[in-house]
Amino acid sequence: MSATTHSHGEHAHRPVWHYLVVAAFLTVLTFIEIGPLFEWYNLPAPVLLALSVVKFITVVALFMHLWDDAPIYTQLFTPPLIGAGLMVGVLMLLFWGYAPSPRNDTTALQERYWTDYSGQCTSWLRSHVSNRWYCASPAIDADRVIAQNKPAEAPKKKLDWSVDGKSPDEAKAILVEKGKGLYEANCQACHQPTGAGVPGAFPPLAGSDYIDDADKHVKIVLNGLNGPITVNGASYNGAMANFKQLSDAEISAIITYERNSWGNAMGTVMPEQVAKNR
Amino acid sequence: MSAHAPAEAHGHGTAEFDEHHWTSLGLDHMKLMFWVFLGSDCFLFGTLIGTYMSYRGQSLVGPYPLDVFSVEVTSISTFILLMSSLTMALAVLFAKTERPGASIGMMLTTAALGFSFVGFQMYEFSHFYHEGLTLQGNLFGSTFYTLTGLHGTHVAVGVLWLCLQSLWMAKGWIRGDVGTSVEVAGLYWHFVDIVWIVIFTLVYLLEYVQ
Repeated sequence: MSATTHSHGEHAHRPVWHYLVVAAFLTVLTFIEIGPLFEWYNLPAPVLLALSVVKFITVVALFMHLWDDAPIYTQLFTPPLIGAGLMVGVLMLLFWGYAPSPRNDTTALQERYWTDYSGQCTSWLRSHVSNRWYCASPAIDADRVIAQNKPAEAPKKKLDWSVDGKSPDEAKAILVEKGKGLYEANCQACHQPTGAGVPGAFPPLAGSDYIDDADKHVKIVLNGLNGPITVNGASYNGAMANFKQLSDAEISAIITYERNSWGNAMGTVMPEQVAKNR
Repeated sequence: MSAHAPAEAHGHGTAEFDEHHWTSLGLDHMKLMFWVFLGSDCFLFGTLIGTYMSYRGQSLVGPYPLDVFSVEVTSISTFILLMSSLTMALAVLFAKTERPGASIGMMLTTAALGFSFVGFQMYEFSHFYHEGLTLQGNLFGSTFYTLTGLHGTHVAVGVLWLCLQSLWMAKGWIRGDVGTSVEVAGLYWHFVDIVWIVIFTLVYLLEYVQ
């Protein structure tokens, strides 16, 4: 271990102009890369990826000196680098490809969610880049969602049906039947036709452990609900508008429909029970 | 291979050996270990880049990347980081060719460029936030802020490192080989730059592909 060993750590130093040339080369590549950003021209994705690989290798080889240094450094760095690259590839293979690209905003799935969510949106912004409207208040913004959904003056229209004086079985049948239409009009966009909700966004009603108690169920529909909740072990943090503009009978119909559909069998909620909780 | 020679041994042939921390490979062990660290950092960024790419285009609600990206800000900050790699490379060269003053100057220039990169990122983040992009609002926000935030943190750490390295050099507090210590700081800096090369392409450029 003497002077000869130390010379391993030393290598002929590249002159300053060398680094300037490398930097100029990288600058040229970067200029080529940003062309599509400013719409000077288009470059296909493989070309952009190739350019970044060239830049990457240039910096590693000439700024980080792997080209000049002992091979052991390259041997130490390359395997984890390749491993990390493979990991990115595997993750993408596993999870990529079944969802639409934001650019293709006309695809069916995007449209569906756009429709479902747009009712929840209270604040719209127009992007100066894409010239497209988007929602600037995700459903988390409880106050504004509720304020927006509050009816200006709910016209109390006479219902053409009633459960007054009906037997319990008849009342239940009427409520479920009328509740279906009201559910489709008021609830289905979020909770879905199947009552399964949207994972991570809207909690399910089918088999939900959150609405065991009928009075609690009524209060949610009457007053809305926001903030973090746990339903069947999954967390949600959203905002539901209140539906107090609906009549007692309508709400009792919706709730009875929800409590007796998709495998639920949780009994009838009569209009009187809604009135009690209002 | 008595790596832990007693202090009295200094000046008796092994001193240089001790000061330079050579491994049995004849290489500086700090530098060797640092390459291992960079390998591990590849995995750290790999997980986040992989997550970003997996969730790319899957946000159910906006804002979407093209709604918020500013091509000017991104281009300028990319050039700033690129230029900082040049000044860092020169700082290493000057340190290795016994020009500590020039080396410190280049390191502080690098730190200043890095600082302005972080500044641009903070501007970008606050701009995005005001456009409605939040950490918890959609998948794009979550994965974007996590990935670029970690990168920005790396840059900020690098800025701090270069400032301290300059101070230590100016005060003559560095034990062992000054050139190697600057070189290791340079490896970190260049690594942060190559990570940005990848992020710039995957996160920003690919959005503009027709």
